[in-house]
Amino acid sequence: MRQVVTVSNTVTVRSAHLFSENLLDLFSAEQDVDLDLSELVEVDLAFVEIVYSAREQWARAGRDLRLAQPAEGAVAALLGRAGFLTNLTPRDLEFWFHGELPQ
Amino acid sequence: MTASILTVDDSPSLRMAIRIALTGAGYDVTEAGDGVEGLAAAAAKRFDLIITDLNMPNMDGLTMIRELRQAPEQAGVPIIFLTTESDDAMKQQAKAAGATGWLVKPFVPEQLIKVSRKVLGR
Amino acid sequence: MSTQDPVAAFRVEAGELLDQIEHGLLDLGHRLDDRALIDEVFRGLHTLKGSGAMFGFDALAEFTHHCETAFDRVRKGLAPATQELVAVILSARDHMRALLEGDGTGLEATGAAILEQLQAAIDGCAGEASGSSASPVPTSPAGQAARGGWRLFFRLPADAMANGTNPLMLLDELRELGDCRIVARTDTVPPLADLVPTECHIGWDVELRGDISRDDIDDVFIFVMDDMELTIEPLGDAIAQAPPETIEEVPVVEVPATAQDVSVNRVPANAGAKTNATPGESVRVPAERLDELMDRVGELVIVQSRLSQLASGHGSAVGNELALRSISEEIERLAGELRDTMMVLRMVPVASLFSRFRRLVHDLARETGKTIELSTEGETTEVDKTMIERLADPMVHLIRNACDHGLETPEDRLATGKAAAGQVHLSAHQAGGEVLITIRDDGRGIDRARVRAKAESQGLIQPGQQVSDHDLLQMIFHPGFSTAAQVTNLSGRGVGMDVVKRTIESLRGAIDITSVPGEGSTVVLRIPLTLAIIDGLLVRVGEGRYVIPLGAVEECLELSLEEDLRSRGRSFITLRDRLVPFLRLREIFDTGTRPDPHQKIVVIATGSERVGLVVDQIIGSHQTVIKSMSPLHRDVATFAGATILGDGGVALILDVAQLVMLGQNQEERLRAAG
Repeated sequence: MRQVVTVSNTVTVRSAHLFSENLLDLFSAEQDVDLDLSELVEVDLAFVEIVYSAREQWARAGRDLRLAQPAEGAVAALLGRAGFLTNLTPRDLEFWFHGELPQ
Repeated sequence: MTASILTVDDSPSLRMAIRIALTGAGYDVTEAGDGVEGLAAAAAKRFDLIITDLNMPNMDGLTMIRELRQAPEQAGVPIIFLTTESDDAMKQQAKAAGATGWLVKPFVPEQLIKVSRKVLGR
Repeated sequence: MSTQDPVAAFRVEAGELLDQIEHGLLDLGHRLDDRALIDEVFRGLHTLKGSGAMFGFDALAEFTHHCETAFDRVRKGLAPATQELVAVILSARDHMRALLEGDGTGLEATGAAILEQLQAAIDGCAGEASGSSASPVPTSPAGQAARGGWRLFFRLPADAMANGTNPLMLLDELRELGDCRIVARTDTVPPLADLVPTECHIGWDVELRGDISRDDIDDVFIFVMDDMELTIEPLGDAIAQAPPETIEEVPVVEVPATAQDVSVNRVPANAGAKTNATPGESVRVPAERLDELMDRVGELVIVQSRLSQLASGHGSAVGNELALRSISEEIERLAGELRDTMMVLRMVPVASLFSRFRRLVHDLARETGKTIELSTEGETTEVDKTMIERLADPMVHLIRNACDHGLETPEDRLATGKAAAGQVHLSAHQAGGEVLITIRDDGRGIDRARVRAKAESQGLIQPGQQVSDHDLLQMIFHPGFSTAAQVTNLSGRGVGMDVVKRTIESLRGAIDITSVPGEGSTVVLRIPLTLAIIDGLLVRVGEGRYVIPLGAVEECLELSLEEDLRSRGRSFITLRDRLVPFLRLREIFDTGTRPDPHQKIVVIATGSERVGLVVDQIIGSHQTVIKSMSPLHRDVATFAGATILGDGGVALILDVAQLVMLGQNQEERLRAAG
């Protein structure tokens, strides 16, 4: 089973618990997940960390977690500002940008 | 958008000095006279930064900071406390209570603005 | 608060803090191991020190700092609170007030002496000597610079993000220092099931190029330095092999005082100590009272717009007249309400007055060796702010009298079957438009025989003359009258009861004294609720109009021409078998006009003394708002203020107490002349 999950417009340290719990629910339901970030406009580092953490969780269980579309906008800007795009590993390039770094 | 700052201090003169400095720097300032008022103000509206004294009647700054950090919606909101150089133990307690940083009294307006810029990023 | 000057606000606030400290200390004197009181005093000292330094009162902050340090030992249980300590800190508190009000010059020696006493009081009871020095300001690690730059790795304390530190902003700050290469490390981020979502486990490798000092980097991390993971090594070949320096615990670094390119509305940090602002000129007003005032003003604006609509003139004449009348009524109501609200704004509880006397009684008890208990009642009674200020001095005198002359020594009291501790009781309550303030003691009462002897020796009464008890007691209000056989250093300083009486009367109040031998004395002050509005009698003298406070007016008489001529040079009239001196205001004011054929005498009185004022015409009664005289005219003794009349003219308000004195002097001069 594969499920597309739309992430609501704000994920910051304030709503981190909620976002994390929602993901854990999906994990318990043994889902492969596509995260749709197209509605996400406000993010901070808590969001990026939870996504990394979730990827680890899914990977350990041998399941698949992906982004529905390549990251752009606020998310891409945040990744750059926080130093995630320097020394980007192929695995991360594939995850965040589906293999192609935006110009 | 203008960053909004809540200042909590029982000293009207200090609140006034803080308000003048911060509004002069383009911030939007709300005042509260003690911890109880501070909590009420923070519950009514989300602030981008809270600047609080520690020594206050009714509810002191430490208690207010602890109460604030109990609330999930206050996670990540910077809280700067005002202290004096002799208060090192107090500094540790305030940090443990969940404060972000501090400003040592006496301070000049430039220092206040510098610290605000530091934690607000604007 | 309307003032925009933080320094002025600080002065008011510091005054309140000093009062709070004083009260705490006085209470502490009764309950030496009350922790709450010790904390309260400490808190007061602490706040005063902090704010004092903020507003440029450096000497005050410095002195208070030493007191705070000493008192902190008491707070921490290292030294006990003693009566000596309380007394020393009380004198230190007085010194703080002097530092607050003065410019600090010439006070150093006093301050040093007090600090020495303080040290002695603390050392005297503590086991070991204490250093009163400030805790040393920790210094930051050496400000070494690495020419090539730095390589660092950091990971924040796990709770830093939840506690308001945004790692992104720290990264931004590093970028501002120089050319920066930042790589995020996620290897320690746990799987989701183990993650506390608000914690931050991401680490960062940063290469920072440029001539950057180590201090600059420490500044970035100042708030998180204590618990974070941070390794720093210089970039570049020469020192590349230096072992990385791991920082676990770094002394706390103060926020640097260097101001960067920030320009703001500067709070004058040092202007305060020099300006000669009189403290206590502002009143704190509860917000809801201001709201009331705002409501009234809002209504006034609405009525005003109705009036201008009417003035722009549409509608029938009859309709307009009706509308105008309704507006006029409306404005009358609003003006009345505004006046009442305004009056209330000026009211403060007498508690602020009474509380000053606790210290006085404490000091008097120490100086006289008497045990004195002060009790108060009705402190919430409200009185005009100005009235409170002007009542302070007379009340100090009355309380000194009660403690010094009234109360006996503990031995004497015990001998007459009284409790060893003397009682002084202050009470206030409102009765109609007046406030009654009572000062009562349970001392020996006024010695009639001595009053009589003194009155006879001063020629106030004939030896053996029959005088009622009430009239006899009134003698003590006579100028130069003092019954104290031995003038102590407390009372009898030349300020007598006559001055007290005059001051109370200048407030349009009255003073009354009763006394029961062996049981004590009671002084009652009756004062009007407000000084700002009076009912007055509007009179004309020459071409000018004047207001005589109606409360002082006893009666009005006709002064016929022939009586005027007959009395010339004597200026006395006979009023119910008593000779009453009268003053021709026309002459005093030098109007240069001829007397009106139907002159009137307005007899005014303060207490039992009367004087007649000759005026040209009595216009009628007039309720008036008192405007104070300009500083230039404040010394003019015969006027208490001015008011604006309905036609826009100005009328001066006569100072009844002064005029009565003038009349009495004239009487005495004439008597002396025979």
